[in-house]
Order: sequence, then structure tokens, then C-alpha cells
Amino acid sequence: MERAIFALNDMDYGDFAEAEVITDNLASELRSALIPKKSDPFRTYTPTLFEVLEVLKNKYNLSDDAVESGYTLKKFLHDTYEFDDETIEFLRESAEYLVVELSSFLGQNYHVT
Amino acid sequence: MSPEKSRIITELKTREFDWSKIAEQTSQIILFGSWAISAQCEFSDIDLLCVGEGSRFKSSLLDIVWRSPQQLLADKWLGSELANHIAHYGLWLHGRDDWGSKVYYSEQALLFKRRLIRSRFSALFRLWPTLSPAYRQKHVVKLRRDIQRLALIKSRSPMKPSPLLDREWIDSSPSVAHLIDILKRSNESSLLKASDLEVTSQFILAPDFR
Repeated sequence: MERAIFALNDMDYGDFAEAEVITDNLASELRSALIPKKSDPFRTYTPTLFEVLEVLKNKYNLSDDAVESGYTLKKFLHDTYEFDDETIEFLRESAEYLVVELSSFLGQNYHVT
Repeated sequence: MSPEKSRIITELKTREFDWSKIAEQTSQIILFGSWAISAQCEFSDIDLLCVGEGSRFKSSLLDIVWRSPQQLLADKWLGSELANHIAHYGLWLHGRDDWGSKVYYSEQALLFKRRLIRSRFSALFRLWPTLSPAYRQKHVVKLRRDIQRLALIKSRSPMKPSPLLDREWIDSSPSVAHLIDILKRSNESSLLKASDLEVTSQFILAPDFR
């Protein structure tokens, strides 16, 4: 899990494919660690990181700011057609913020499951 | 207006697309992606290019890309993969095509696609063990489509929508060897480094490659 979170810090924000795999990997890890299979609303669907964060907000009160950062990542990673400097900066800020929020959240809740 | 266009505009209205308002604000509205070739499935969103001033909108129902009239005539747009795709497969719902004959593949489009393939390979190589099977499958499909698209760019062929790429793949006895062959035929086999082959061989296990 830690590796998945800190991969967000290390990723190349201008590299769409890498960012997409890294955020999906974190979504995958969070989902399997914190969303019990019985109450997993996604089943065979592959949710984005944002969608997983929304579930964590409802289930464990993950902060709105973390969810919003996840939304920003989702919004820009969907825009595969172009990747300018402004987008990269938005991604970097959102990812860094999310790392802080998730680290704090998991510090308190990782034992929840 | 053709029955097909009327049907799509009706569908757009059910998806809360304000047709009258946006048609007033734009000189062209072009349908592209799976709906433009009638290959949509139950969950397909509707892809639109609107020519005018607006910002990207993306939901599970609609994906709207905006370009200003000035941007449409710039090399950045005309040389892009998306412009190539829309020029060949797009359906003009509003306005007239005044740029489609000018599209080409720029060096940037080629470099971007190479970079995309290389970086997805690299990220998959690192994260493959922790990615769940469903996510593996998702990215393997994306990787395969990008390799197909790279081959289209190299051969200066029209950029096909994803459903057509998928159909071609299924019809072509899909295998990793076939994928490598596509890269070789496009003189792009250097995209696969020795380390990537380890991941590539694992792709055989992914359902898309069976």
C-alpha cells in the first residue's frame, strides 16, 4: 500500500500512461485493503481512484479534500488528447496533496478492515 | 436532416445536451468515436467535437472536446491523431467540414504515441504484480490499441475508432507474437526492450490476448 501511495509522488506527471497505471494501482490496493468484498459496489468493474475515494469517504469519512484531489486526477487523466504544462502542474499538486491526505487517513484507519 | 442525425440529436437531448443552445454557440458539432460508426454498446458515451469557445466536458454519458476555429487550422490540431480520426470517421451533425482534407500525422503525434506505449510498458512492468486482474486487463487492452494506432500512424492510414481496432484484433488470431509482428512491420520493434518481454509474456495470461 505504501509503495502504491508514494508512487504518486515519484511519477512523471507529464506521462499520461504512467500516471494512469499508477492511479489505477492505488485504486486497486485501496479497494482490496479497505472495501470488503461483500460491500464492494464495483464487483467486476474497474473503478477509478476517484470512485474508490468516494466510497472511502462514505464508509470511513475520508476528507473531502482527498476526494477532490482524486477528482482532479480523474478529470485530467481522462483528457488524453493533450497534456500541457498547466495540466501537469494541476496533476502534480493534486497528487502531492492526495499523498498527504491518504497517509494521514491510513495512519488512523488502516486497521479498519 | 438525415434520420441518422435526427436519431443522434434526440439521443443527445436525452443525455442533457442542450442542442439548441450549443448549436447557436458553435460553427460545427461533429460526432466521433463508437457512435459515429454505429458500434456503440450499452455503456458507450457519446463523443463530440464542438467548434467554438468552451471547455472539455466528460461524464459517463458525454465526452465533449472543444476547439476554437483558430485552433482547427493550426498544425497542432491538423497533425494530431484525434483530428485524423474525426476527419475520416466523424459525422457532422451541425455545420460543414472545412478542415478535414487538411489533416496529416505530425512528428509530434508519432512521438507522443511512442512515448505512451513505452511508458505504459514501463509502468506495467513495475506494477504488474500489484495490479488486480481487472486493471491488468484494462491496461493491456489500452496498450494493444496504442500499438495498433502506432501502426496506423506509421502507414499514414486513417485513425480507426476503438471498436474497429478491437474487431480487427479479434479477427487476426490474437497473440503476443502478432502484436510484436505489428511493431516489426512498422519498424518499431525497438519499443520492446528485453525487460518488457517479461511483462509481454505475462500478457499471454490476460484474456484479451487469448
